[in-house]
Amino acid sequence: MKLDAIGETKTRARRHLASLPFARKLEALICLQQTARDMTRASGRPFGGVVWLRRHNQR
Amino acid sequence: MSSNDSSMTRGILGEPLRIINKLLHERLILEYAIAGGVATLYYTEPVLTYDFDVMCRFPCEGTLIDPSPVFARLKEWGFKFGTEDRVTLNGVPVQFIPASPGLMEEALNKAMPVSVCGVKTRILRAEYLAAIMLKLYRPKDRAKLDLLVGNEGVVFDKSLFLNILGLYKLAAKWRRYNEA
Repeated sequence: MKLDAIGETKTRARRHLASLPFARKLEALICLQQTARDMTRASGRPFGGVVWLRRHNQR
Repeated sequence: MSSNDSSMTRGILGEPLRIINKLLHERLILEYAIAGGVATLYYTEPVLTYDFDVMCRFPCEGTLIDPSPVFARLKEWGFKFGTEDRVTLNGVPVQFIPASPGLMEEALNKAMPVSVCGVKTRILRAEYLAAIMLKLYRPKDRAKLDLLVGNEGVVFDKSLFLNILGLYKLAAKWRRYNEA
C-alpha cells in the first residue's frame, strides 16, 4: 500500500471514529483506561489513573 | 470489555451529571458545562482521559470565588474527595473548574445544551474548547488541540475559532502552533 493510501485510510478511520455516538466513545474510553492500567501494571509500575467503573453501593 | 463490565459502564456519566444538576438546582453552582478530555471526546475520536472536568460559575461575593459550599454539600451526601479537589461520583473522578474571566467565562456562556447518558446538560463548543487548549498549551492540551483541528470528522466553525483567537489575543500563538 502506498503512503498516500495509508494516510487516506487513516483519515477515513478517524472521521468514522469521530462520528460514533457519544455512548460508544465513552465505552471506548473505558477500554483505553483498562488497557493503560493493564500495561502499566504489567511493566511493574504503579498505575496513577482511574478506570471509570461503577461498583455496587458506590457513592 | 466483558458484558458484565459493559453493564457497569453504560451510562457511566448519567449519575455524576444528575448529582451536578442537583447542585445547580440548589444554586451552589450557577452554571456549568462539560469541558476537558470528555468534551474533546464528544467531538472527536476516543482519547484517553481520567478526569471528568466540569467548568463552573460559582456564586461569589465581590471578586472572591468560593466553591467550598459545593464541596461541603458533596461531603454531606457521602462522596469522597481525592487529590486536587477531585471528587469521585459513582466511580468517575470529577473536577470542578471555576471559569476565570475572559475566554473561559465566554466559553461557558456559549456552551451548547446536549443530552448525555439521558441527562440534560451543556458542553463547551469545539471552537472554544480548542481556543482554551491553545491558551493552556501544556503537552496534553496540544494533543487534544491536534485532535480537534486535525480530524475532518469534527464539526468545527473555523471562522468562529479565528474570531475567538483574535478577541483573546491568541492569533500569534495559533500561527506558531501551525508552524511547529
